[in-house]
Amino acid sequence: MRLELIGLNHRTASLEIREQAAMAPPQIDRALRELSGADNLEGAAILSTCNRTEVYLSPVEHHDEDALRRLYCRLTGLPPAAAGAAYVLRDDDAMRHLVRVAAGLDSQLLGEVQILGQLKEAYTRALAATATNNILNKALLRAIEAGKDVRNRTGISQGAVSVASAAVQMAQRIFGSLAGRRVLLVGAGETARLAANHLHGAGVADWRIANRTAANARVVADLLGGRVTGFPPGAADVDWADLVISATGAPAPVVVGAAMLDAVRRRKRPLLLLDLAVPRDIDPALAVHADVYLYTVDDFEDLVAANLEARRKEALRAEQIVEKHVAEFSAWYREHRVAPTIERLHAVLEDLRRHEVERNQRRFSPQDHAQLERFSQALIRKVEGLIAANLRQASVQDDDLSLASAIARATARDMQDAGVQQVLERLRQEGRH
Amino acid sequence: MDQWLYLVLPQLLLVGFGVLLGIWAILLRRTDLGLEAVAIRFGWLAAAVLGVWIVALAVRQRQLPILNPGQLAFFLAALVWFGQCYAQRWVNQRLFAVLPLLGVVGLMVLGLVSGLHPGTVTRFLVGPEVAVHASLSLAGVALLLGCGVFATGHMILHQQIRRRRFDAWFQRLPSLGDLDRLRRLTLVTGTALVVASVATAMIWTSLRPGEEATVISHLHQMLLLAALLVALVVVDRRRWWSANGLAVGCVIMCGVMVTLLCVSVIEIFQGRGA
Repeated sequence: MRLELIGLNHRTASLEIREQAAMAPPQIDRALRELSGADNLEGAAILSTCNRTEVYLSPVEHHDEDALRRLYCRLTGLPPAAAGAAYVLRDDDAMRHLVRVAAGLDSQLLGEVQILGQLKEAYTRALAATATNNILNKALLRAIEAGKDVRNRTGISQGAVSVASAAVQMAQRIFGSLAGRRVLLVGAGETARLAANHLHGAGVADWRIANRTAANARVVADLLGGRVTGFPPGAADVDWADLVISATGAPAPVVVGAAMLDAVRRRKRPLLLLDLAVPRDIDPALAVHADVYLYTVDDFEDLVAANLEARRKEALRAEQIVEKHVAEFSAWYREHRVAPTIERLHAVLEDLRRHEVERNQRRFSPQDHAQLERFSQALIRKVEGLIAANLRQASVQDDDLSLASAIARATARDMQDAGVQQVLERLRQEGRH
Repeated sequence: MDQWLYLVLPQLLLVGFGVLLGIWAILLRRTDLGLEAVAIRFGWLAAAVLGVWIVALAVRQRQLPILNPGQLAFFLAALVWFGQCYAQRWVNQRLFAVLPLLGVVGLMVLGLVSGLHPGTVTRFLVGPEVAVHASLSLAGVALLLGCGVFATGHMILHQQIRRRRFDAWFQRLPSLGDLDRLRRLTLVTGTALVVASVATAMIWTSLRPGEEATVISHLHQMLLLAALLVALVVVDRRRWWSANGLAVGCVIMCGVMVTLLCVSVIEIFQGRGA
């Protein structure tokens, strides 16, 4: 296979080196233009994200590793001293890496989905620069397909992996759809805003915001389309809400009090209390009955850990799917590599057959001509199949793929069929001429 | 023809549902959207075949499949599966395909073991009024069994959330809100159907006064069931209990219903009514 990859990622390089190697879109376009006119190269594509910068190449002949590192430093602007952080992979290993990247198996956050979009963008960019060839097109498309396949057939991308998204997951486990749910947001700091953004994205549209500084509450209320309420929130606010998120920097609980406890005790709807503050904002005594669910930061960290563990288990199945796609791509490549030779072989054999049939036709009665035609075709098919099988075998072992050596290999075998041997001998002679 | 209707097709249906149960059991353990789509389509196909079988049988014996316990079990299995196909439009599958499928396969095995051929038919099982009563009753029972399944799911998920166990049950069950909504819907609809079936039975007994002995005892059990169900619906509408308390109540109610129903069916076919 003629596929090469040089790149670095979060596993092999520090953030500082990754920053130096990162390529902006105009820089990628320039590099692709340069690569598409380079000697010994038939195709190129570049994938640059915050965690990796990888250059995929389809060369005529494999480059040596030093040449690839020099090329990588020139394209990315990475100092040669840092080039040791880059990995070089070839053929099946390069394809396997590409498919794993697409599947999110090589991502810092296992199973993340953004990488698939980034890979599609890299492919589109390379295509627009007419920098790809048949092999790279096939490799990239196969990787994208594999990425989708892995996400469809495994749970590698399921479950929240940050505290804010875990809060949404918990709310969805309790309420189902969050559209139409009422949320009381206590606090207007970064954590509160992050959680609110996630909930807003999940469909929550009805908000009350309580914050010590009313101006900050107003800013958040405007962003979410909600309204400001007093601080600390009252029993009526908690009674109104389906979900309370609190993330203030207060030294003592702010969602607390006898009136609040009464309101919670009286209500007949489920209430989810999410306490994202340390020290805690919500009085644990409020979880008075079975329909009140109270969670703290520690619980969400446990949930995130459980989700990551579940993803790791799914990764084992994902690896099997990756291997299947790599094997299919390899099979396609072998077929693709020998296809021109097989076509040439077919043409030579067909020419030979037609010539022999015409030469010998007069020795047969007209009613036997059709039979002669069928016989000659069957014989040629047999020879062609024999040589094609040898070519495919040679392709697996990366042997010489010329027609002459395929014929030599085929005749070297211990073949009992005298007719086939005869035709091969003729073919060898034709080949010499 | 009889061989096909009473033996071959039901056996084929059992095999088909067994395969479906196997597929959903695999899907319970691992995510595979492709296989899930195949299983859903296969489920619809199975429902269609069941429907065709019921129609063919009804035409052949001029009565719905209610002429013996075996037929009743198969008919109930069909209604449970129709309900499941309908419910899958709202809830994610996996557990909520496996549990009903276990019920369907169990009922089908029971039906085949009991035998589906009606033999000599008791006179009071013939006629449109008994078909209406039995259909309403079985549809109500199927919905209430569904209610029991959703309530069980609710209880499991509630426990997982309370105990902070973020395992596969937590990940794969539908949300508490969805389970509660479906539990309430099936409870209310199932109760309405059971009450209607009791009403039709009372009308039927008054129209055929010679057969009280056969049906009165069965009617007592159905009346008791209807009364308990109505009480549970009232508690549910007024939200006197917590959502989890109501789920527990529904599961207990399901147990009571199955017991009363078993006693009732045995009485009709093997007891005084036989």
